[in-house]
Formats: sequence, structure tokens, C-alpha cells
Amino acid sequence: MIIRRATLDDREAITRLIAESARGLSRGHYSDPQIDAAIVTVFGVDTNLIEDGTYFVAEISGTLVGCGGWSRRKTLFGGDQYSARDAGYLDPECEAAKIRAFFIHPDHARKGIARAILTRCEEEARAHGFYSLELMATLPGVEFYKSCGFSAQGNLDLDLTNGVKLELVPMRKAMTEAANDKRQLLRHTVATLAYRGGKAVANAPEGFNSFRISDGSRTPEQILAHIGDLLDWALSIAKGKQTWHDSKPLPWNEEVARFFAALGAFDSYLASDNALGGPEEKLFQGPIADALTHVGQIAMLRRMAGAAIKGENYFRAEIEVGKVGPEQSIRRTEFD
Amino acid sequence: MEPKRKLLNHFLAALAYRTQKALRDAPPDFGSFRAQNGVRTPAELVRHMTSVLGYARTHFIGGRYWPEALDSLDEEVKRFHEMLGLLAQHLRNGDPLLDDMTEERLLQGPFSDAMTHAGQLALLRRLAGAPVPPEDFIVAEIQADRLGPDQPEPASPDKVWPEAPPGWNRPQRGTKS
Repeated sequence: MIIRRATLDDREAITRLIAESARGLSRGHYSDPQIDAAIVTVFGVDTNLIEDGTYFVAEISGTLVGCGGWSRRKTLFGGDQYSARDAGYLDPECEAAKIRAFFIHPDHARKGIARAILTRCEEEARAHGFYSLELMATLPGVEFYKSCGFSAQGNLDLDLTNGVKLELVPMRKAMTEAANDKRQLLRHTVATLAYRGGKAVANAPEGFNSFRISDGSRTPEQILAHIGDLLDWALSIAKGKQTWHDSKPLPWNEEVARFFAALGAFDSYLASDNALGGPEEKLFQGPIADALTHVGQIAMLRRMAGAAIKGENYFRAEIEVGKVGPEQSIRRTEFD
Repeated sequence: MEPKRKLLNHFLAALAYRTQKALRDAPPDFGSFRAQNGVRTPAELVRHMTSVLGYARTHFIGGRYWPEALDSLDEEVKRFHEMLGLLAQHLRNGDPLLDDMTEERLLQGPFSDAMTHAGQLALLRRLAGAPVPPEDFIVAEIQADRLGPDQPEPASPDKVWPEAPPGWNRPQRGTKS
């Protein structure tokens, strides 16, 4: 078997291979009407991939037996005929490379062909600076991708045509130690939030929870409740199913407990092997940075309420990954 | 760029974006707005943000950094963004950190400090009677190489703003809530 880059001259053969693969390997997972509709509307050659040089075919004795590729473009799935496409380029620093259009001929399934092509794709995506991979799996492919280190991010029903739907499974994988480095630094930011947030809410004077400096401004308990919502949101993004809710503030001590519990839940997810539903950069720039800004606001309100927290050289603070509860180091370099 | 440094660079870009958001369309005299005795004015806050970032930079180049107060908020903001750019350049160049400084300590110390102060700028906007409209920051067009004062408008401003001041116009673009 040889694996080579696909050329535009391969398109007809790839189209046939895709149809044969879908019909031969999808039964038991999808009905015939689903398979037929998918071949017409979604499964197919993506010419962009061939032109980009990121689509491969596997050949045995001159016959195509498998195909698949990766992409620097935003389109996650779908051949040329699929309408919901975005040919814009991805940012490797904060977006996942796409794994695209893997199909193996039924006579050659489970012989390591897909794994060989996928390995080639991963190597190239990594060489282009990507840290993670993303794909949309059909149901027959889910177990294969899991065996290659991908994690499912829920599922979705894609509307094909005439009311026919196709269940698909979004999957992601962090590729390298580099991705783990970024994840660890994100965890360090979460620990920083615990340390700084904990300091801002600790030993607050009686009535501080409802201190309102002006009409329309949030009280500390409203800000803290919002931080809790942000952390819940962060966890939902990490799990790949983004949800947002505005919660009503709890009594202060309960809200403080909720803050640490939400930090703990998010950090536990980051500490797991589960794939992230979004890049570290997005998690940071959204909920985590937001939460840091709100911690700053609580600290300012403490000053305005006549109960300022002490300044500190946080560079020297004993902030550790995973230490996200209310018990933080008491060895601090503080100043008035 | 080494991955931790890429994330730190993104942190600086997020800081540039959020600071500009907190300052966009601020009233003309916002720089000297003092909410209360003992509370920094916006100009003092931005100067302090420059100071902590300059402190971070000393861990690449040595020495000390103490920015003198400038005459206006505009000048302070200009210097702040220049400092962001200088600091990011060290990250991009792969310049070594001196002594016992690490990427983690940069993050937990001066970088996070500056971010908390960006939040305080937004709070002061509210207290000055010119609050900052909310948006979905996760889709904000924050770019690692965009550290100057020219930051994009929100990609997804919230359509619902319970604390909106009178006269606030509901945005036309998408939203998280």
C-alpha cells in the first residue's frame, strides 16, 4: 500500500470510493435513505483539500482503497456540494486543524489504512503549528477515532433533505505536549483566580455583600454570582456544550462556596484527559479573563466600602495548579 | 513561539482589547474621574497598569521601571499600549526570563494584576455615568499580534442589558444571551 497526496485527477475515483464506503460500512448505523441522502448532500470530494495538498489517498496495486485528509480551513465537514462551508483559514495558535473526509473501501476496512492516513495528517498539522484536531465523525467512525485519542463532544442531527436527518458526532483531540503546556497554564490562571478571588472576598465586613456604590452598579454579591455563572459557562464550553444562565445571588457565604465549587469543577475538567470543546485562548479571553476583571471590581468595592484588602506582590504568591479551594497559602508578601 | 508564551501573548492581546473596551466612548473628563478619596482615577489606573507590565519587562531586561505620571489619559493609554507591544516582543523573541521568574509567575503577578485593573476601569465607567455595554468575549476578535489602541468593535454585543443606561440602543449583531 502507498499513501500519496490526492490530485484533481483522482476526483472521480474518490467519489466512487466515498459512495462504496458509505454504503458498505454505514449500514447498521444509518438507514439506506439516510446513506443515500448523505451521499447526495454531504459526503463527497472537497476540492479545496486537494488543491491545498492536504488530502491523501491510499492505493493498492493502482486502486484507491482509502482516502482522508486534514485542513487549514474552517470547513469542518462536507464535500463541494455541501452548502454550509467556510473556506477561510484557521489560526493554528487558537483553532484546531480539521480532520476531513475519511473513507475506506469495505473490502479493506480494519487493516490500518485509516490509521496510517490519520498519522500522516497529524504529523502535517503539527508541523503547521496546530496543537489540536477537530472532526465530525459519522457513527461508524466514532470508535476508530476514540482509539486514536479523540473524545466525543456530544452529538448532533444534521438536516439532509426532505426531513432526513443524519446523526453525527463532533470529536476533538489535543495533539502534543504543547497543547498540554497551554492547558496547564490555563489551570494556573484558574488557580490564580482562586487565590485572588479568595482574597477579595475573605473577611468582608458585615453588609458588604449588598454594598452598592451607585444606582445601577452591581453589588459584590451580584458580581460574585456573575463570576460563578462565568465559571459554569467556562465548564460548559470546555465540555463542548455551551450554556449560559443568569443566577440569582445566594447569601454571601454560600455564594463564596459556589465560587470555589465552580472553580473546582472547571479545574477538574481541565485536569482530566477529556478534550476541550474550545481552544485555551478562547476559554481564557472569555470567561476566565472576565472573572479576573470582576475580581478586580470586588477589590475596588472593598476599598470604597472602607475595608480595603492589602496590596500584595502576587508574583511571589504560592499559587499552584490544582489549588483552587478556599484554603490558600498564608505566606504572603503583603503591604499596605 | 513556545506554547506557554503564545498563551501569554494572547493574554496581552485580551488585555489590550478589554482596556480599549473600557475606554471606548468614555466621557472627555473620564481620565480624572475620582470615584472616592483613596481610589485611583482612570489615568492613575492606566499608569499603574503600565507600571506592572513594565515591572514584568524588567524580568527580561533587568533594572527597574517606574513610569512618571503623564499629562492626560490619552498619553497614558498610548504608553500602556507601547508597553504591551514591548513585552510581547520579548515573548515572541523567546528572550529568556531572568532569575527566578517563570511564565506562571508572570501570569499570576503582573499580567493578572493588569487584567483586574481593566475590570476596575469598567467599574469606574459605570460610576462616572457612562457604563460599558456587555458582549460575548469568547467570540471577540482578539488577535495575538494586535496590541495597540486600534481594537475591533465587539463581534457579539449582548442584546439584553438589564443595567443599561437610558438611551442605550440594542445592538443589531449576534449575542450570547
